[in-house]
Amino acid sequence: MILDEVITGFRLGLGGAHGRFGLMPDLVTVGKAMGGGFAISAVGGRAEFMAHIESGAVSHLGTLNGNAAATSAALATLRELGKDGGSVYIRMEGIADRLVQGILGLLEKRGIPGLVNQAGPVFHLMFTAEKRVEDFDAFNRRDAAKYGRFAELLLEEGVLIRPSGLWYVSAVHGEDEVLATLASVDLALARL
Amino acid sequence: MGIVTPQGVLDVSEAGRALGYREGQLPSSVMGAIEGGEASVAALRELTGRARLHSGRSAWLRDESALNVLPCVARPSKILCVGLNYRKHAETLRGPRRLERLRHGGGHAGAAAGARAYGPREGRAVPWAFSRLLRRDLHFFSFRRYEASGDGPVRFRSSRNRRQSENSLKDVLLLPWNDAEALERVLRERKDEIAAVITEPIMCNNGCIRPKPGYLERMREWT
Repeated sequence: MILDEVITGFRLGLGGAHGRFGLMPDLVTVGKAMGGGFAISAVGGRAEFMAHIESGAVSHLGTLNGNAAATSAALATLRELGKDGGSVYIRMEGIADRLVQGILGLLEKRGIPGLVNQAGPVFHLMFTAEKRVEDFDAFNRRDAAKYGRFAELLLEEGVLIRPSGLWYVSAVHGEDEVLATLASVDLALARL
Repeated sequence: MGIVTPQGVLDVSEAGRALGYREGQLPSSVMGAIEGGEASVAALRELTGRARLHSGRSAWLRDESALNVLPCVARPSKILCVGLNYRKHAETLRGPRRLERLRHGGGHAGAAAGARAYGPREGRAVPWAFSRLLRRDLHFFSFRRYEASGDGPVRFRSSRNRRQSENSLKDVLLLPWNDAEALERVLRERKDEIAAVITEPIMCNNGCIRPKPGYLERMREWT
């Protein structure tokens, strides 16, 4: 069992999604969040599988493998994330919760149907009449064009988001950013 | 137009004139040779047989290194390529029966492949510029492949996904996510050919969709 945690690794917690779900995959891929902005990815797994790479039985080749700048950045990022037992994740999740509750309140206020799927500090906001989005078909019934327009309006209000609907809260986001973002979301929704 | 022979490149119009061919009996260009089909090739083959060992041959045989190669197809509508840079492909295409079929195929691909595979070898009439064209000017598309089968014609086809080779598509089984039954069925039916199951734990890019309760746990159990 190989888990692709390129997105979820070090975002949902130090143990990624498998740590949250209490699963022990054989191999796991991670990247992105681990570098704190630097380009890096990694694969990890059970000692018996990783030993094949160590012995050379399985070649793991790459031009930028072990790149000094990227690995130094990742080590520094992991040191910060691991401080105080990873309490930064609790804080990030709290910030995400505040943001999500605020956005849902604004949608209700404006009478715009929509919902949020959240996984820790990661969430997906979509405009849809569905009550729940738990599979790909339901996800595809969202109004993606309307969301694209929303992202455009929000940018005019000073907040840049991904037009896909996905949001990530990072360790530098705090109360001030939540309040400023919600104020802009309110203005953008009013113009939508 | 010239024909590569072991004695040099045969100047078709010069040799044709000297050996008494009438106007229109021989094609004067590669395009003419293609349009003339089998009859043109037969006429060129006969000319080559007569001309290359003729006592007056120095009048129409040229030194290949002293010649400039011009485009042999003046207005190509399309260019298809064959993977002749791969040894296996080249060997497959060199079988005479398959070459015959390629030539009957009539398109540029067939003509080009035939030209290259016939090659500048003894007794083989071939518009020589074709072989040059293949060697020098065509790029090979890795993911376009041919299918050679028994007695059937050689067919060219591109892979379904233009960015992936057919082999890589065969190596991967795609399953609907969050469908434990589908996973169990495939694992049971094809367990001897499956090396690993790979999945994202949460479909972050597609709506932040979570695994159904028990889905990943069962995947873990079955693998």
